[in-house]
Amino acid sequence: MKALVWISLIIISLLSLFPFYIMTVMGTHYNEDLFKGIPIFPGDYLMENLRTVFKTDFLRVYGNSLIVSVTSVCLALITSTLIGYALAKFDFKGRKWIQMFVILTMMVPTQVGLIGYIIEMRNIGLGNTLWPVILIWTAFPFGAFFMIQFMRDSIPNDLMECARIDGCSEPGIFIRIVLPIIKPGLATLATLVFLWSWNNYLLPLVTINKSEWFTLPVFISNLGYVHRTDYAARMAALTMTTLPVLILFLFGSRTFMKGLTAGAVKG
Amino acid sequence: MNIGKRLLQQFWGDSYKVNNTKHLSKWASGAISVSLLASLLGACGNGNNNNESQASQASSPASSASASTATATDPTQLSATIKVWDWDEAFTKGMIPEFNKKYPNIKVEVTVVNPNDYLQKLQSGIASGSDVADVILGEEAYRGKLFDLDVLDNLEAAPYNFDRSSVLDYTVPYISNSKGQIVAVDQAITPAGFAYRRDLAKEYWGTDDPAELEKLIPTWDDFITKGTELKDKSGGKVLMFPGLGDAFLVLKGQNTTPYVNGTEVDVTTKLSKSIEMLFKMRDAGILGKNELWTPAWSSSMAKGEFMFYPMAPWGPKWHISANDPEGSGRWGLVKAPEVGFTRGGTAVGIYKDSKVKEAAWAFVNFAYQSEEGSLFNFKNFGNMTSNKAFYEKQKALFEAPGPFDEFFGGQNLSMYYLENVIPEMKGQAQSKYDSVVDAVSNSLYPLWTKDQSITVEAALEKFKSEMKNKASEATIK
Repeated sequence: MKALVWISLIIISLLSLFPFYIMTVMGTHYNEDLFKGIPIFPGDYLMENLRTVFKTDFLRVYGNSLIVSVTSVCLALITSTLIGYALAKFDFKGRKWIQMFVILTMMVPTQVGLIGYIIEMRNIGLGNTLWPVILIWTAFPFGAFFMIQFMRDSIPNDLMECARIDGCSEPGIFIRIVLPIIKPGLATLATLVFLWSWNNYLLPLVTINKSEWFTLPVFISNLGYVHRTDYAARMAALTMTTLPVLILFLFGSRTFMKGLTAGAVKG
Repeated sequence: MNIGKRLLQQFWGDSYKVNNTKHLSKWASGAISVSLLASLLGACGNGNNNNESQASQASSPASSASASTATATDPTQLSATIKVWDWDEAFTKGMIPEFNKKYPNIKVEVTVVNPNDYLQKLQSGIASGSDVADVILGEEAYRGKLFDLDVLDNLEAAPYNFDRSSVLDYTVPYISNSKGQIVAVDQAITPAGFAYRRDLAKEYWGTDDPAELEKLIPTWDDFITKGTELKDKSGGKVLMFPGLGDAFLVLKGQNTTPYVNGTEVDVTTKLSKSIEMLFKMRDAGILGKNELWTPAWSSSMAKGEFMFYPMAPWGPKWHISANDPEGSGRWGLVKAPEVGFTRGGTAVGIYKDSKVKEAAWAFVNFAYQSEEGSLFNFKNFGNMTSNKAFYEKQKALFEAPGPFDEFFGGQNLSMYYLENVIPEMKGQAQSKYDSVVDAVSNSLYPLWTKDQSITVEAALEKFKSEMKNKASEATIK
């Protein structure tokens, strides 16, 4: 029985890892050879493909993407946590309305609000910078919703009461008591925001008009594009692009899982 | 307890007390009124901006007219920064320094935008009033849509004063919008014929000379006869085209009868004869079963399974030699039966709300129409301008061997296009429905390949109903 479980686990793992493997291997072949069949073994064209990638502004674009994702994660965590804390643990007039509002904004697809958002950014004077791509995450309804749910279940009210009786200030309670408890939630949200902002395509596509501010997805889609699309070079670039997300997930996977399942069982 | 702490407690700890909720709601109403005020002010500011921009637009023709008379004599007087959205970095990196030799004070800023996303980016840029390129490119796939958006300036008016008789006659419909205004110039002309395998032609038809081949396939009926002969002689190993897609794009392209009138789209006029001939070829068994741009289709070029591939001047580099790198000397170029057609092609226009129209035009005109720009364009990228005068002045350039003539068995490709393909070509008026027709064609020809029992009538009906789904506002005939 155990063997059966193991075998099926191995098969599933292989199936899910296979596309990653193919992506990596495709980056080592000559573009036109890719169409002769799915390559299983690495080719000898990696250096050429890397040259194609690096003779462009790949490093700067990589830097842009890192700036965008890291800043987005920080900002999204701050706002989402504060909203979540306020709505989950305090009672005040209009609380339900705000909560409803958060859920309502979750239902509006990004594409619908896009034009309005760009107009807003232009009027603030942030057109043609990286800010529009970052600031979208500061009002992140899913993050707020996630934090509301997470905090409601994981922070015992008694604990906060105890802290209050012991004379801890409210910011103190938040920083010393609440934040340590919600670490798994923070890690989960951070991973998700990082992943989504890292892979975001539509927003940078329509808001960024200067090549020097391009982020990775937009950059890669433009790589080697004249009559002949250089898929091999794109694959090489994609492999390098996937690495940080992969590393982030590997390190954060334990807390990530905790975050995803938290609240499933009430203690 | 200090004040700061008390304030914080009002927000956090004691906020469920009735007193403090009052505080909160006061705060909230205060915030709302401030934001309302701000938005009102913002709206006012906006209004002012609009007025300003309108005013500047109103005044710009006068100022630009005077500027253009000045610049006609001295290009160095023209000073501006123009924005170009292009996907071809090699082209912009080469052309801009060349342009700056003549116009040192015009700075060209390039944003790389790939053609698949171009229209979306452009539309959201225009809708939101943010930065839009001054020089806009319209690739074949969305050129008609771009023209119908009505965002490109009429190039025959000031300050451009473009003359439509200066370009090859057949190209005029490809750069005109539905009102008949010229709104773009061609990046390069794209007349097309067939690339063919010399080795196969020699083996099965006894000649690999383009002039002889022309005589073998003057009409499509002859094409089918020769195709059947080829199939029989080779035992079915060699066919005429790799698939229905190749044949259909030729037949479709050859029929340039206008078929769009406002929202009336006459699919029957445009396609019935093409589909009829396509099915005749299919039933004769002279077409392969490959879909365009698939791996099998690409690799068939090197394998020698098919005689012909539709090819425009960009084809030798990006299409044939890219897929058959070892094939030097075994390819040739012959014109299509009956009449030439176009394949691909990009139109370059100027945004009508651009603030730097003259500088933008200086760039477009230099890069795609002027003698020095066209010369640079042809020598470095193989792009052939649409400007008539250039071909008269630079005849020797085209008579000399081009970079891919060797690959094509020493045939002079440019001269062949100029002398044998272009003279009898006609252009197709552009509309937003062209891309719909292309999309429906691409989704249907694979079905026609699989199910050989579909009749011409059934195929046409299916085509119309698919058109209706994709363009619900149009009347499809």
